[in-house]
Amino acid sequence: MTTPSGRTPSRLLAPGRRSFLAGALGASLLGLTACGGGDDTASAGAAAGGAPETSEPVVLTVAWWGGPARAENTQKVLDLYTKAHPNVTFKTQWQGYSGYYDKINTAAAGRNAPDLIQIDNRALREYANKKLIAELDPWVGKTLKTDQIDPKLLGTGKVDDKLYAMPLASNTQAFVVDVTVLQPFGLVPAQEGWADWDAFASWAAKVTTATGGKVWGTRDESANLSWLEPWLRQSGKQLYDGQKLGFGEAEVVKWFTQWDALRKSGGASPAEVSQPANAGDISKNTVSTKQTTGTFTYDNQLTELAKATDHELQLVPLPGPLKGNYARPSQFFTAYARGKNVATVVDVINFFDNDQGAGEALGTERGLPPSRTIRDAISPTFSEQLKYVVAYDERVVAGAGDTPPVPAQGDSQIGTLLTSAAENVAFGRAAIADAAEEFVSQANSALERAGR
Amino acid sequence: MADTVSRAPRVGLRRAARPPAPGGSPRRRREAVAGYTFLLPWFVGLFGITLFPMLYSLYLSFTDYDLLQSPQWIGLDNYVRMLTDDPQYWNSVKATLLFAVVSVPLKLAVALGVALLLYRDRRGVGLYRALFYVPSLLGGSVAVAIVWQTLFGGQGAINDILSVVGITGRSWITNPSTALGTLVLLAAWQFGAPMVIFLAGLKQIPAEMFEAGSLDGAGRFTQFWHITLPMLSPVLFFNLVLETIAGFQGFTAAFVISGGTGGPADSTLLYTLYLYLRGFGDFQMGYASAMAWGFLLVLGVITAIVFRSGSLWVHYADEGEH
Amino acid sequence: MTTAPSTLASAPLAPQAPAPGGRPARTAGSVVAHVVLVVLLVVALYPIAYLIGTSFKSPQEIANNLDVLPRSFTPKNYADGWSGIPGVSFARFFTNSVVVSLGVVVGNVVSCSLAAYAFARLRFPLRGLWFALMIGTLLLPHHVLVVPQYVLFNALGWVNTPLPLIVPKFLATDAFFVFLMVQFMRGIPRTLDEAAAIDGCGPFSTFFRIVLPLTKPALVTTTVFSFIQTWNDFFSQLVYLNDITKYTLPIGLRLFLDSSGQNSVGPMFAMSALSLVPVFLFFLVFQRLIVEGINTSGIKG
Repeated sequence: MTTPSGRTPSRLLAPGRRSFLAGALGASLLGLTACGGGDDTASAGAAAGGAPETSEPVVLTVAWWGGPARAENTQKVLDLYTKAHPNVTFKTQWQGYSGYYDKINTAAAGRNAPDLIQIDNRALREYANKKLIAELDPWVGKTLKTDQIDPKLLGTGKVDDKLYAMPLASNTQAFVVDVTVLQPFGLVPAQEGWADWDAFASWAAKVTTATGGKVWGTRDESANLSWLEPWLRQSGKQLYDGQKLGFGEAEVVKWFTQWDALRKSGGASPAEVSQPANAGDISKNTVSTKQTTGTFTYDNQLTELAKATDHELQLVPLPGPLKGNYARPSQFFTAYARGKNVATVVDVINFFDNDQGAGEALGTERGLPPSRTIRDAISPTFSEQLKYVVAYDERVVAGAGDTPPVPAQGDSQIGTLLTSAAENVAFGRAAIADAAEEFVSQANSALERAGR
Repeated sequence: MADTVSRAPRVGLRRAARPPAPGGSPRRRREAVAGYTFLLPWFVGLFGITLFPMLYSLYLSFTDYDLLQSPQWIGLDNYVRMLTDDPQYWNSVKATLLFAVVSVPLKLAVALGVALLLYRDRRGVGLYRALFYVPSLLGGSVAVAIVWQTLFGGQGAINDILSVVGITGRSWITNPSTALGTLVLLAAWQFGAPMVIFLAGLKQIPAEMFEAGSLDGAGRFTQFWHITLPMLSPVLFFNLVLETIAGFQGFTAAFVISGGTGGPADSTLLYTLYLYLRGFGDFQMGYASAMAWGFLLVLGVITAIVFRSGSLWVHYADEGEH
Repeated sequence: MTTAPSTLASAPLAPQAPAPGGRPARTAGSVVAHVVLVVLLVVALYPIAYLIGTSFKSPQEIANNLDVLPRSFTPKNYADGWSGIPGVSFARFFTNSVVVSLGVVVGNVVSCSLAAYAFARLRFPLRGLWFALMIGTLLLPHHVLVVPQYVLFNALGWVNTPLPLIVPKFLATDAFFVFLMVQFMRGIPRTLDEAAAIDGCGPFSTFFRIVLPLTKPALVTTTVFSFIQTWNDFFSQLVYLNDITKYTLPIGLRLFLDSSGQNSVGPMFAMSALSLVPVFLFFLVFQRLIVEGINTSGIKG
């Protein structure tokens, strides 16, 4: 294919041509991202407030984190729903907590997040602001019944007064102890726990001594944001003040110093032993691995923990005044805003929260049922263990403080920053003052960036 | 060495002799068209999958981009943050440098040592060679990383073995002072691949050189230093470049053994792992792009240094006497 | 010095050069070398032996690490591990890995041979430049490209499918194999090409009828290496595959690792061992070729 003048066909790819092609490709690539980011409205058929699909077959993807026990329960509920609505079937995705949000974020970026997403209050504000999850208000009173749910609890699912997430359950902070190990030494703590930190610290040291140093009293929880928060509240501080930290270096220094003392006295497990559990996976819990006799937990997690160990376990409140605790929305269910069957998803959410059969299947594994009627109806059917958890929860929540507002955007990074700082201190790689300073400054930067 | 083409340096294909094509110009044109046609898939790959993404990531590095909304131009903010406001970034640089600087020489030294040993002993070389190569084959896998994590854990086999000799081990992987060491060991364990190359290089050293050397009265060490090493230098250079590049890119083992966190205390936070965590964990794609370019530049500089230094110590056999 | 194809399969031993020591190895030295080698070998292969041994140990025995071999042989670990995590069995992970690996193999063999033929055999303007660029991509760390590639594949809707893992391989993006094949093809005598040309064959038929069949050893090497690399690849598969049902073995294994507690070391090791079997099999069959293949690409005269 030569031109009449005999020039070679390599002119096809002559420099001029090539750079034109190059430019075209580049422009299209840029164009791809531009349209990749635009926000289109929710797809048709998911008109806000519309009725769930009852005749056409629908497949919904559901995602949650948890352990095998939760997987079993959840599957039971989904099966119950399918029985009542044969046109709806489910595809499930579940995994441990660590890396869960990575997966959801990735899927969301690819525009195919699961239809029904379990989240906790760490991600609520971010997902709502990024319009990842649907606003549920249009369905309230119709498909979604919320009258039986404690308004304070319901309020935790609201961002700027709009309901984005339905609480699946509520829980509260606790400290789980291994009775089987403690009993022979007579060191089982009283039901009310410890009046203050010093009492707790001396108990922990006693345990370690009694077991000859083989099992520590408590896990070193200095990296645990979930304990830092109630501890802060006990002295009147908060985790967040709007989009800023609600505390300063002084508190962090005190927190690290406390745990440092515990490590030195032997009451808390050494850094190496505590480290694997810092990521939050329940499978690494040091009580179920029998390395410590106590560790922080949420009260509902007793079910999963009891399954993992053959020892007898009990719950006591965190040391110090009860007002640090609060009734937490343990998880929420949300509907992916860009899903194709949002109305049906809302109906499933309603089923989880308000159906008695569902309530029975879920038990207290996620936490206490949010609906008063359900709770009253099913408590009598609970096993001893579940009754115990309910009793603990009600006792503690009675003395607990107010539930804080939705955490600031970027909250998920704060936990990682705390873990970094705490590990540096625990392993002796940083002085407490330096680590505290770095943590606070990094945390504030992260919050500021996230809030942009 | 008959084929002139293979003697020319890799890049200078243009210097290859062009025999006049029978049939003249139309055949030449047809060949050129054929050439570009055959290369078409590669061109698409080069521009679409390699070059443009590179340029695009340069653009992204100046933006704030989370994949859900359009990229927001923020100028040099990412780079400033990277270099001045991110202690974890420097932790990852430290960890990666430490990892590469220790594991690469170690791996090459073991590879060379074993190759020398194998070279001495002619019998069973094939079997030894194959067996030593197995770790290289399997080493990059998740499976091996899992085994490594168990071996070096608190209740792992390594500690049990050490206790036989009376040493009380600790948990090597949850302690920041030793966690990276386990990764270094894992890397060095895979010495089989460079070893095989060293062996082949050793085999190519002409016998006459050693005969001449021993005639001159050179002892074993002198022979090694003045004959073996220089003759091996091209191979050593090749291995050094490859292993350095690979060393800086370690990911899988660090990810699996640290549970995806780079812990404990960022001690195993290799650069690529941190890039992944920021880019795909937090979806800070702009920041991750800035990190990627930083990485490219540094690695480019290091590779250039190695190449430059190569002209000083690499001795090609066909360049005549040293 | 590039080795011609005929020497690929059976590299003739170099002339019997004396050991670097200068004289034939004395018996004592040889014994010492043997001992050192054997010790090294034991140390090097220990982790593998440990893996296999532990995979067959019963839960009670697993805590006892010093015995590599189990006293009570427990193949049950394999059955337990195979059922994977609730909902997805390891069969699924294996299948996915096979699909991806085979796709990559086909892609590489096809596209790299095409590109290699152009570089090795055809003359066209700017060949040197493109060749240099191709070598340059060898030195490019692929982590640099992963973010923008992800954006690209995301826009195409390919995230959460194996497409981003396979399609680029049909575009000769693995410069290593292009290079390998170029080196190999350059060793094929041009007289064959010229004979074909005289017979009237154009570049295309010359490629398909003459050069490609003679390149078989390099193609086999490419197949083996591509398969092994992809089978073990973790990073790309981690980034692009989100649904559990699409997971390949490396990520499936890691998920298994994360969700198992203390009691699952046996099944976890069993599945880990199983995942290495295909690689090992490839290795056994092609061992010679693999090792020679490294040589061909490695030695520059």
